[in-house]
Amino acid sequence: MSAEAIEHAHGAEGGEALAIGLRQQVGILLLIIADAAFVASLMFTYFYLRGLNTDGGWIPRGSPTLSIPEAWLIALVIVASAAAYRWGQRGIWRGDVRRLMTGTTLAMTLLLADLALQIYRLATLPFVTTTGSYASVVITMAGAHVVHLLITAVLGVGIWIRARKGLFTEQSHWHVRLVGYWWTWVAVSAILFAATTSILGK
Amino acid sequence: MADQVAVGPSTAPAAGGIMRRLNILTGVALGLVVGAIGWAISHALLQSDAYGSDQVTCITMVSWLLGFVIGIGAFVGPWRWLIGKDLTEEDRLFMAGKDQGVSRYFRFCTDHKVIGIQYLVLTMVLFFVGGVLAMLIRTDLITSGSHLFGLQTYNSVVGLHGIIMIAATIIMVSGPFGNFILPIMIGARDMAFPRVNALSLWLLVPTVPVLLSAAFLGGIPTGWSAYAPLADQAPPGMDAFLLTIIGFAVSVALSGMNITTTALMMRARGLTLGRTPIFVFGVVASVALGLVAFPMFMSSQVLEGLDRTTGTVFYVAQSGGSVWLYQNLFWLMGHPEVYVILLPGFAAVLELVPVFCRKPLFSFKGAIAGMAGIIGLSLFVWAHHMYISGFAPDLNGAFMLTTELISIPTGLLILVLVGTIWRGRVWTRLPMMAVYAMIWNFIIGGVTGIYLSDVPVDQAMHGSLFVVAHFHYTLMGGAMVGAIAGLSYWFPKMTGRMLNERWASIGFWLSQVGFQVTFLAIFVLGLEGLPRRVGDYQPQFQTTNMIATIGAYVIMIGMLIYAGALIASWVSGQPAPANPWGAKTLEWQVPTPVPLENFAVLPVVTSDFYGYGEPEPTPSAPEPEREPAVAPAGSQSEEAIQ
Repeated sequence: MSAEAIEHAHGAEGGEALAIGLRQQVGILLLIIADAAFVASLMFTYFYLRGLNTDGGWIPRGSPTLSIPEAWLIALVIVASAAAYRWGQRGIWRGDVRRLMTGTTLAMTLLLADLALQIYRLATLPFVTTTGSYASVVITMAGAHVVHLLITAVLGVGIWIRARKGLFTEQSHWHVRLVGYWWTWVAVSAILFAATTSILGK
Repeated sequence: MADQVAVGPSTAPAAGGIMRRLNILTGVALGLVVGAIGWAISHALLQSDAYGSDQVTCITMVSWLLGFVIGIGAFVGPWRWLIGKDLTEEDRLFMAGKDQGVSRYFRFCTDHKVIGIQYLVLTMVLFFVGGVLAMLIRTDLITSGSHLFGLQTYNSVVGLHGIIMIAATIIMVSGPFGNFILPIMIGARDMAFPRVNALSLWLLVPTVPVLLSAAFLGGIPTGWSAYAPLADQAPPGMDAFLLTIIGFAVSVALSGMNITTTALMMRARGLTLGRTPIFVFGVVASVALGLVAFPMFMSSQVLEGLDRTTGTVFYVAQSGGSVWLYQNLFWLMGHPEVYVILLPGFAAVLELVPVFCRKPLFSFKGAIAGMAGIIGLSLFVWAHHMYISGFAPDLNGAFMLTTELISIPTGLLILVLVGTIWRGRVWTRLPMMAVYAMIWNFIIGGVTGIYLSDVPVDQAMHGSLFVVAHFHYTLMGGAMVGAIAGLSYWFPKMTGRMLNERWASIGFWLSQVGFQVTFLAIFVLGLEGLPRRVGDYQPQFQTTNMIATIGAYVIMIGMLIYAGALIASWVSGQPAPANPWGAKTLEWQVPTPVPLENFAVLPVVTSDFYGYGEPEPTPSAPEPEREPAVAPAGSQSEEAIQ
């Protein structure tokens, strides 16, 4: 039974809902740690291959590189999306479901824009997977970001629908908070990807 | 909007619905249909591509996996959450397998006890398949020049044997006992996330045929470590391998999250960390380590998959990639994984030794410190697998030091074990006999590991059969025997039947004799210089190889007898009392078979569980306080508890 459902059934003061909510909080944080280990492995891959530059194959002579401002633009859009979600989340703290829905709608719009930007960027990159190890890592990181965005989009739709159905109240909004953790992590990982790919090296 | 807030959660109809018709058959059926669709579309669109065959293989297998988990009902809960129609109480009880008899074992059942049994059966199936492959290997090596199969097939059999056994040993304790026993042991009604728990099991099931399909797709000619660039050049069987690893890593991450959360957040009142059974610490240490380590493994395989299907060059040296990258990512998981396997086995024997010695655990805090030390150091030893790869010779000294250091906390665990047995009034039943065997085996495996951690010795021994004997003593002789001890100990609680110890002991000891013969012989072969992963050898190695093969057959006979005793006891053994060992931990205080919700009222713990030999409370001592039950997520309503 979800924390929200239990609170509706037994009243907002239920210690049970709090226990379940805290449990879910620990769970989502542990999943974020696991995902962070995966992101860290991609960053390790970037710096390791950059450091080795085997046979000058990191960025072969004459090969183009990524537009760094574009990478940061993609990161900033998802940061703005996370901020909008956070704004909506603060609304539900006061029982303002309309603000939660507005915030989630705005966050979803920005997220979808970010997804479109990322896909457009992938489609128009000045290099391909076989160009060199730099190209391979950059494309993989972009793919990882797309996966992050798709997962977040599904969660955002769920939050929006549940908010519309009145399943969140001032006292009962654990899932809003938990999705907020994930959304924030996705923004942080986008910053990490952008920062990593900003360090080129030859 | 205020009106909407006042409305309770929307719920689906109370009974019926497609959810109740889903089971393993619908999972297989949908998996096959979606897999066929995936194959047809990808074959039509991608076959002509340079990476077409690998792309088609991957898409087909991913489609099968997705179809299976959808078909068995894994996404019913998430879907209902998404559309705002939460599962009803009746739905949840259905998913928990209430009143469903045996059929619940073939469904997406959320009851942790059912999942524990499902893990146990899956583990036994994996050990059986891996064991058959081991016998094929040893039979092929019985004489010089004998070829049961070709050399390339030999490599694939070795690879399949390795990865199947590694997977089985990773889940053999934290799967069956971490699911069945751990929640009861901490006084909980279920795991923190019952549906995630079922998902972690049912993600594994469809990966088994995927892995086995590798045998028909050119095999896994790389061995279980799947080193690049061999893996880059391997046939599509390699795709089956890497998709299995990715599915396995996701499952382990979900399981690790779930078990850790359960142990941290759902302990009964009064069950402070100082009173928490050592088994819980061991399992949590293992799965928490896996939570961080397995994403690295997954990453290594994702990059391998991208190299094979999209032309990335992560491991292609002439294009700027590096095979050392693969080895680093792989062993960043690969060595912690050894402790992911070992710690739960150790914890199981640390849990049962006080019961059979009627003594408190010798240095509970020492055992915790040992586990903590192992976890911390295990993240800094990975490159001892790469001494001779040329990766970073300047770091060899540092990694030699950390690897030798890890023997200290590991030795501490052995010390706690021996200290607990020391001067105990030992009740020598099968679980305890397995402890003796484990101590013997693990000391041999551990000491040879210290040799191998030394760079000069490793330079001579790396790639030889000495390494094979070392890790079999550690993982099979140590961890797996620990798991056998645990299974023999918790069998009555899990199955409701007493294990036929006579036949189980005969089988166990026979397998132990065979084990010593086989792997001591393999140590000798390694010292004589015979490399591992070779399907043929010079005649001078023949006698020792034959001894090793005879030993392997003795292991097989012993394990078949043990397995036969298990199955026969499970089917028609003596009914087990609730607490046949007179143990004090909570799982032995509930009835056998364990009721759906474990406890009628949640317990309150007032002392630790290792007070054997200490004065019993006087009759006038007050009864432990009990409190009304609190339902965990997704298990049942307050009304049902009342």
